[in-house]
Amino acid sequence: MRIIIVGAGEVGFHIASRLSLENKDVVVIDMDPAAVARVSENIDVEVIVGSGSSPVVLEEAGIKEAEILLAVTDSDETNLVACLMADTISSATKKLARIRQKDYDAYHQIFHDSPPHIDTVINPEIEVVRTIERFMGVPGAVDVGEFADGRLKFVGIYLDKGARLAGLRLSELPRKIGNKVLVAAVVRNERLIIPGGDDRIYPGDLIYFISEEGGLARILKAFDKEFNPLKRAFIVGGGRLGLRLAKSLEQKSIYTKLIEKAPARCSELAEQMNKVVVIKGDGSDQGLLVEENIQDMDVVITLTDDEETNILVSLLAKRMGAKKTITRLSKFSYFPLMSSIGLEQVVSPRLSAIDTILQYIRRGKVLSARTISDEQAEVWEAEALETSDIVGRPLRETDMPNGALVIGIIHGEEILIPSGESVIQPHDRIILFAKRQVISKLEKILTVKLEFF
Amino acid sequence: MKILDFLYKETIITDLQATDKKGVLEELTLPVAHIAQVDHKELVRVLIEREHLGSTGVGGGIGIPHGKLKDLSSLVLGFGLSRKGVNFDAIDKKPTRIFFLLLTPDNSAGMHLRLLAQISKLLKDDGFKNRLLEASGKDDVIHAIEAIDEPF
Repeated sequence: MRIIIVGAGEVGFHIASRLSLENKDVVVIDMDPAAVARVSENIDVEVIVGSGSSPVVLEEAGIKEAEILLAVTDSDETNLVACLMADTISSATKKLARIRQKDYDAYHQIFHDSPPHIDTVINPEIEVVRTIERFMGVPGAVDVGEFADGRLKFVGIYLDKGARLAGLRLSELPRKIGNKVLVAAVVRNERLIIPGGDDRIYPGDLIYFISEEGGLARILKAFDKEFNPLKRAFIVGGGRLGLRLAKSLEQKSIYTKLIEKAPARCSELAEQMNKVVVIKGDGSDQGLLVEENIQDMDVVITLTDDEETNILVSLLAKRMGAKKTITRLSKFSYFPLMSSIGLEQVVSPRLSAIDTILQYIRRGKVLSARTISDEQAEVWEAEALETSDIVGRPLRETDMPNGALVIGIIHGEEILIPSGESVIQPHDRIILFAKRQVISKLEKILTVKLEFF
Repeated sequence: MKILDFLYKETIITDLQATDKKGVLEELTLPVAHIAQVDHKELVRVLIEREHLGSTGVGGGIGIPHGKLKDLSSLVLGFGLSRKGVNFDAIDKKPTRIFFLLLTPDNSAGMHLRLLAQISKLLKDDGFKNRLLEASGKDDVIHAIEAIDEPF
């Protein structure tokens, strides 16, 4: 499978390195020789220095043979033109483009239906706002994924010191909680393990489980996570993301303060919102935080373009008594550090973009994908297809590779947490969890036989 | 029904030029799109979509790309030979040389499966396979099929 990536920034680089490990035929295009050099020095893929919106460069990259084009430069315009050229030269190539400006929001469907025929517009900012709102609803979670239109939640949560569940065998967990719950993985000392019923959980473990929406509150309680409805939010950074979130919170009637440095931007922001209080100032100024009663805030969300500032302000806010912080990060190398400095809820537009892209690269009918725990594993929602190896027999008789699990089955309106005896029917939606090493094996199980029409 | 009821001379290509999967699909569908009067781009899109769910490169040098199309009035077949062989993501990872293309209307339940079964059965016959591989022109392909084409 040939995949052309236009833009060697953080997302392009990262996707390229992922795919190169999976034996895909990848070409990366970027104008900036330094960015291209970084790719060719670190990853075994083809590279071209040039403009991804140029038909000549695209042809050189082999657009006619390409199954997928990813346009992920920093410029929405370049991405749009790259897709337009690709559509003209090779219409059957699937096109995914990152388009971030809000002005384009209303046009995503039009971009799909008429030229440039973009199959999927990736707007990581929309996804990040959703992630933040999910975080706000699940106290203490470091990861919240939603499947089956939100009816199933996939949650990653730390077991605290002195928690009542510490030392418990997993097989005893459902009885203790009084709810159906399936633990998919435990991350201990940065290593991801798929536990059995006899394994115990310990303080410091990061536990990934799946549960029905209705049962979640009870499970969180068992994990000694306090559930308080959020009433007051404090956003630092009035960029695109800050604005998007503030608008969304405004609609949910959450009392929101938005702090922004640049005076001109402040007036722009104030014009666009009614109830949100826009404050001009520096979020890292302790005096200002005191003045704005940061200690009374249920959640502080740091979204400036400068991630060091975000980390700093989040730490400061926590220290000053804010109940919860959510921090925006870009550099992937910072992720592993976050939990050790006490910032557990982290969002990243880039990671969101990568998740969206993965969904389209995976074989079989994968409806959504997300990476977890520093990319040690992936969780997918997929459709179980007729004639694929996963349907029609009990799960224990399927060729599920070691390190992969079916963790949810959605059969019509019914949601099932599966056991080895469960049988998946064609057209069921399934939630799958897989360690990175077995992903291609898992893809195989999801693909159809020849007779599939 | 016989295979030759659906395979026209115009949709037989005995020297595919494409060197990759997507190229083969585009080349193979060009005459078919013309005969069936359907949008070529749409046709290729449907086939690629189908390949994404699982390759139709069944191994042994054979590929049977297929798909359903809304606007098609009747079942239509295409045939292609690649002299060099193409990487078609076959299950045995070997190059694919013989291509049978099957396109069926959206509502043709059952019939396409029988046709598919028939083609798969015939291609298990090594003599038949070799006659196809040695075909130098469209007529050779038709003769080779004629010789074993039987109602199914």
